[in-house]
Amino acid sequence: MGVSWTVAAVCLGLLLATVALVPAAYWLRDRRGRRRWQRAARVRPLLLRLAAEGDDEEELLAELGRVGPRTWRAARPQLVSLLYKTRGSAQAGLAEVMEQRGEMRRLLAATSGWSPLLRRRAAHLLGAAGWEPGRNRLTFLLRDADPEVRAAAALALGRIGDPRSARPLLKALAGHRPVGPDPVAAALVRLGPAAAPQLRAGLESPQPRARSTSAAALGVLGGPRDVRELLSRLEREEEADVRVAILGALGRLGSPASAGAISARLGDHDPAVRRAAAEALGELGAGSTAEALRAALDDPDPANARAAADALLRLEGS
Amino acid sequence: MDWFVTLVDGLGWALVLYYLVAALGALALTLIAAATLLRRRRAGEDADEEAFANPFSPAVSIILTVQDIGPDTGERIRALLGLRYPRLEVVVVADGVPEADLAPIVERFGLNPRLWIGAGLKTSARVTGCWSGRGLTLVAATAKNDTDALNCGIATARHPLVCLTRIEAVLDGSALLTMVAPFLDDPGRVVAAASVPRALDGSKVVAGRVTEARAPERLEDRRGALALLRRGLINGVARSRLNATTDLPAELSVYRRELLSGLGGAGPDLALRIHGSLKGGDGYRIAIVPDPIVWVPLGRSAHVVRRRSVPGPISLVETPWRLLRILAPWANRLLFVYLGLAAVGGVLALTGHDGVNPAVVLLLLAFAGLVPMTVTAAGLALEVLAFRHYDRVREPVRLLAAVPLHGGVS
Repeated sequence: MGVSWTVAAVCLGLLLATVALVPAAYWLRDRRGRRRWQRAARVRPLLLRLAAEGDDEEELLAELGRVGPRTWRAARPQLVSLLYKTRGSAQAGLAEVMEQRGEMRRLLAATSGWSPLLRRRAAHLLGAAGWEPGRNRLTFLLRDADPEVRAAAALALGRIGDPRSARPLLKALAGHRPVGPDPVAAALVRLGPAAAPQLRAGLESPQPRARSTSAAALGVLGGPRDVRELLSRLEREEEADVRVAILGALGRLGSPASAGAISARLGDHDPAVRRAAAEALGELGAGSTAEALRAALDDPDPANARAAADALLRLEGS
Repeated sequence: MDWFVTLVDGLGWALVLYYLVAALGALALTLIAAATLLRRRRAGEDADEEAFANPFSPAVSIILTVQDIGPDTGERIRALLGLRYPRLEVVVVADGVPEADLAPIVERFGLNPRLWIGAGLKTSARVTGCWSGRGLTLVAATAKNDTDALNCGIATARHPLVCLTRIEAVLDGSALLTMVAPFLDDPGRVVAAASVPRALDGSKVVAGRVTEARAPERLEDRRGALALLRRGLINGVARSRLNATTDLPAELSVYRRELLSGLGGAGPDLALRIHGSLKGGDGYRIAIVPDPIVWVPLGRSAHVVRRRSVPGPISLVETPWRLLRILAPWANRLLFVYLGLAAVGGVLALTGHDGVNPAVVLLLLAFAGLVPMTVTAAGLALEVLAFRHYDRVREPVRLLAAVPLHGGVS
């Protein structure tokens, strides 16, 4: 009997504590939020002035260095939000404040932490700050045990924007713990046109994933020279997935010179390649391809016939 | 009378055993969900901006089925088209709606007639008309049922991700960015993502968006709101963590189109079919997005919740839980029988006979009453701690008043 009373009392206590937690949590968060807002009010204008790239950067940095730790913690979310909205020297100024306050050291330490969520968060922030010294650590994280951390590290390397990251990014597509092609492609695009030579080299990689991802990134970054490279690769490519990526890139680049080669792929033996060709022709908008697209309406795969119909509709609209 | 007391006590102990296992399971799920949500909050999320800026964010087709054109149908479609996302299309399947009723939608969105070509999925729906323009495709069809109409929409969809939603669901402006974030974070494994719907009743809606979240007025509706939180924030999040998701809310969920095509389309037991088709593969994940991004009126949602019974075990983690759910209706009925018999036993005790064991009654009160109430209250506490989308403390406190109404094993 004594045991059952104890069990019932424990369950009742648990219920009452959980019920009390609801208003208590609300009240505490509300109070803490208000206090934080008030504390951050002093720092907010300084951060905004720093992000606005005024000529008083040194003075602002010195003033932010004098801010107390509690006020700094309160202003930190504002700083993080600004990091994602700034580029160039404004971003560098904010990163310098973070470095001065020891944030970068803490983030680097967090990248070795046990929690994948915190490692991912740290990688995101190092990238958002565009902090070049964090590049090596982020490159190491490309082989992290957690796939989300690997993807975050790839995106962060893209944000830092050093073209030297192109090679490790392409390498990370293969191996024991690969990074998915989408984050790598997004990161490669962020590296900018300076990474184009590495991407052209990537088109000749023995790894099909590296070839297709290089092609996808060149579709955003590339120019007329890259159209030639992509067409040449398309001619020789044996992997269907890579041909699909190359056709997508050619469609994005929109060069009329590629119309013939893309139209020819409407007769490819692989249905996914034929669909990619129809979609690319829709992007291209070249009237000379209408005849080939009309023929593709008879494709045995209904999805391909629909892609051809959509492309024809786009041609009519353009 | 000894035989009567022995019988009642035997039944009581059997029920204690059942409710003890159920209570321990529910508490374990609560702890897992709390750890997941609070850690997630600590880590912070900036995925929305990343998805928006990423040129390779996968394009999304939003599929919607309607059985009639109401006064707010156009507004709901406009709200879907206005979702913050780089590349999206909305496919509306008007199931059994006369063509004349579709004219206001065609006119409002400036749609042009076009040939309907379905691809990737067989559907028995008979398509009678198709219009498109400005990212919207309207398909007039006659389908056998809701699933058939949805599959007609999936066959119409052109993009690699397919988002299923309902006309009565109200979405946050960034809902799609938040739903697609798991696909970007873990592109190799995430095959589906489902949301945790919140109760719309009582909240303020302006231009198809919730501008102020409030607790429902009626006590019964507040009970429904708590049921949604418990199902989504406790069961949904914890099961997703254990990769044993069996509930995919119809209010808002996103799938890889290839996966749906391979499974033969949407339909009942979709989560189970996903587990069945991918088991033994390289590893996959069904993500549960706990953020408050979708609101639903309770009447419809309660109906959907009731319909979602999932037979057959899917994993070792899921097996005991499934067994408890199968036993739950019997246990709840037997509990009432036991309480009636225990009351008779109490009367007998007053006449000098042996009464039923009071320890059994106490333990049943604890495991069948107090623990389920604690889990329900924990769902609300997690909502406040992790998201706090109520502007006033009054709203969660009003929801607390309905906690005693929502007990039992679910």
